[in-house]
Amino acid sequence: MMTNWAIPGVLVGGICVLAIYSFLYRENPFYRFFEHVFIGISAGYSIVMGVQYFVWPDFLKKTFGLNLLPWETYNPWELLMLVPFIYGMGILFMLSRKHGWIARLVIGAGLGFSAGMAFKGFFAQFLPLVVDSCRPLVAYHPETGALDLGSMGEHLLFVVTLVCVMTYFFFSFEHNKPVIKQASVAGRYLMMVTFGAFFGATVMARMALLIDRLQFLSEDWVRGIGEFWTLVFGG
Amino acid sequence: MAKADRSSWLLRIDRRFVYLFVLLALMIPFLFPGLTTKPAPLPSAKKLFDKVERIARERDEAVAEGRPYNKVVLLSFDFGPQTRAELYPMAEAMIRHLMMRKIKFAVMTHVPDGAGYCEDIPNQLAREFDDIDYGRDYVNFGYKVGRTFLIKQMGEDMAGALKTDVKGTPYKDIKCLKGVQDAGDVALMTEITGLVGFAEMWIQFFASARARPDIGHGCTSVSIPDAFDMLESKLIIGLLEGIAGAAAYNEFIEEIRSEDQPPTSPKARVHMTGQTVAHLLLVLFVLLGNVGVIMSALRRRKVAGS
Amino acid sequence: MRRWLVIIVTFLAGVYFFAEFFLPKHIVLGGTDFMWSRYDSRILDIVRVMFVPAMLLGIINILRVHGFMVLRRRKGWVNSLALLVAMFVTMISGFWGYFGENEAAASFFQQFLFRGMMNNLGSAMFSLLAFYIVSAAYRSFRVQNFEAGLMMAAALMVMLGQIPLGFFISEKIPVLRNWILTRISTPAFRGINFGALIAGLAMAVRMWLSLERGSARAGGR
Repeated sequence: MMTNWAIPGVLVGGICVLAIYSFLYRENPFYRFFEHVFIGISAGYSIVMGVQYFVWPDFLKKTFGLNLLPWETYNPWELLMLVPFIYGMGILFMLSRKHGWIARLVIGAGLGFSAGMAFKGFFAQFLPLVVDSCRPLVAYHPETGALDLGSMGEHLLFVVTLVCVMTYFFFSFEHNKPVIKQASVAGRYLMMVTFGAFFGATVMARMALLIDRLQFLSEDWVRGIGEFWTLVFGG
Repeated sequence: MAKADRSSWLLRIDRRFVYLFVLLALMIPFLFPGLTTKPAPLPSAKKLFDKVERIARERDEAVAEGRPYNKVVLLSFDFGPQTRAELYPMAEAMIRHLMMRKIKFAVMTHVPDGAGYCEDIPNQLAREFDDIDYGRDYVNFGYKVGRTFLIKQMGEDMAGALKTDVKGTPYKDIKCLKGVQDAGDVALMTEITGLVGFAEMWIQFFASARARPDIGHGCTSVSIPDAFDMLESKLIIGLLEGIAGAAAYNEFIEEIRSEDQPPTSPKARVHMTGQTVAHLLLVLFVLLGNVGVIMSALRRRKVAGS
Repeated sequence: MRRWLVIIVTFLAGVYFFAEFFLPKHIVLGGTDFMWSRYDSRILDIVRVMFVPAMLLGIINILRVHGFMVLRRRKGWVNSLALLVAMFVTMISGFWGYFGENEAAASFFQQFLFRGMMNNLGSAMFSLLAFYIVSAAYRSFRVQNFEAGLMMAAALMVMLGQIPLGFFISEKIPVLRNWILTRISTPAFRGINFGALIAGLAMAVRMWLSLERGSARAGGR
């Protein structure tokens, strides 16, 4: 039985890429077939990884004492870990109309855990952002002690941008008052610059995916075809 | 019958011709791989690079003074095939740098798809270096379930959270993690991901009672504006900005690499040439569209005037 | 009664982490020193084990939807059959390679299925966006007013600053890109982020206290 599937993997990989790109011409059964195969492989891969990396080593082995060394004794209290597992099985009742409320118990527990963690997460991330936003509008050079106009300008721009953008999203009062209206309009223009920057960054992200696939086709796939040819036909 | 608007062909190019043009244009860098220029030295990538260099210096000073040094670098590869184009090169670059400086590191992932990359990248690079051994110099924890709960636990008790590596070796028996108990023993934690919220998870929860480690981030280009917010507020100490960040990091490595060390892959540079072509193409098409609109408007005004 | 049970379970689940954050790490009462982190490891293991059956739910749903398509020979049943076959082949080869320690199966799983097929299919599917972004920019990016012009100018500066050509033309171009990202984009995003973070916390509190209409509403009636 073949123990090294690297070359067939590369060859089939190239065919997969071309199958997906056939969609650019128009929708076709070739593309649909490979799309479904991808979903199947992804689902299977996630299951295997979950069992291989967590369910077997960290849950089943530990609970049933299958990982004990010769001098260790089994602690029967480990079987208590089956209790949350059985509780978690309640999520399967989501498929039942009559007993679906049992699944809500499990989902509710998950929501509760996440909500409890959200407090710590909020303060750990939010407070440093607030502290950093309070920038000194009067700054001095650390060495000379003179006014640092460059830094002052940058800090002023930072604070003005932040305040204007936040003003744009304050819907608790009307934006037709004199200062608020100008701040709101300025916030909109500054956000346009931000969205432009975001678009520019997005272009690089999307193009990277395509360039990577073209790199694979032109280098790895072509080399794979060559190696396969050599293997099968020699010379 | 009204005369056809001659300027409107600019607005009526079939999308399939646009796709074909994109495909053909992007093949140019692969036909002329020598046509590359140096990528921009991004300051955000330099900060992360300098942090790794500082870790190496601190380790060397501790060893020279006879003090124990048991800190490690922790990397989390939370990406899959959808974002591997940008994130795989930066993961490779960071691992290469750590191996060059012989800094002990651990890799792990919170997503099933990342387990393959945790296996591939360090093992492939270890083969390029003569004296890098699994277990002594680096360890792979693979896919770990739990996300925020796991990270919170890791902050206080790494052994209790991670338990075993991919080979089933208990935490306490892993040589490179001797003395690494909690987040305070992690010199640098780098999250490489394109998924929303993963870097924030480490920032929010990875800390022990005595310390919070420096956190670095490698992100896809889509997340750059958001990641810059974290960089500016010093929530992270360095940032790899997509494929540009990976290319810049590779250039920094090349500057310090000695002759006997394996070279970086030229793929990132060729990729960046492809990016140049792609960006110019996009600008061209935007110009075409806008010129078409202007010409149509002028034509309509001329027809209306006459 | 059922509704109250869900509310109580949701509240109790959040109490531990809520109390752990707001109360001191050590609580000394009388002669005892109660330390929260003593129970952290176990609590977190319990949480992780509780959601293992969610993996089963995923498989069951796939079997229900696509199995039904195959059994009833609905339109596209061949694709559904391909999906099911791919899923089972992946699972069998993965388990055989890991538990059975079969080298061929492990290689088939890792090198053929993951690196060969999954990697390429996933990457190719997302790379289609590159074509669409060019096509969409050509069709709809119109500089018809000041705001659109501002957005276009910013996009051009950032794009030029991130490619080697920009650095080749002038070293100042990447500096300008960095300036736009740090001095304008960052505070703007932060303003949006503040709102999002506070809304996120408010939503978390509402979920925890089951004030949100439809929270934990799944399955059944």
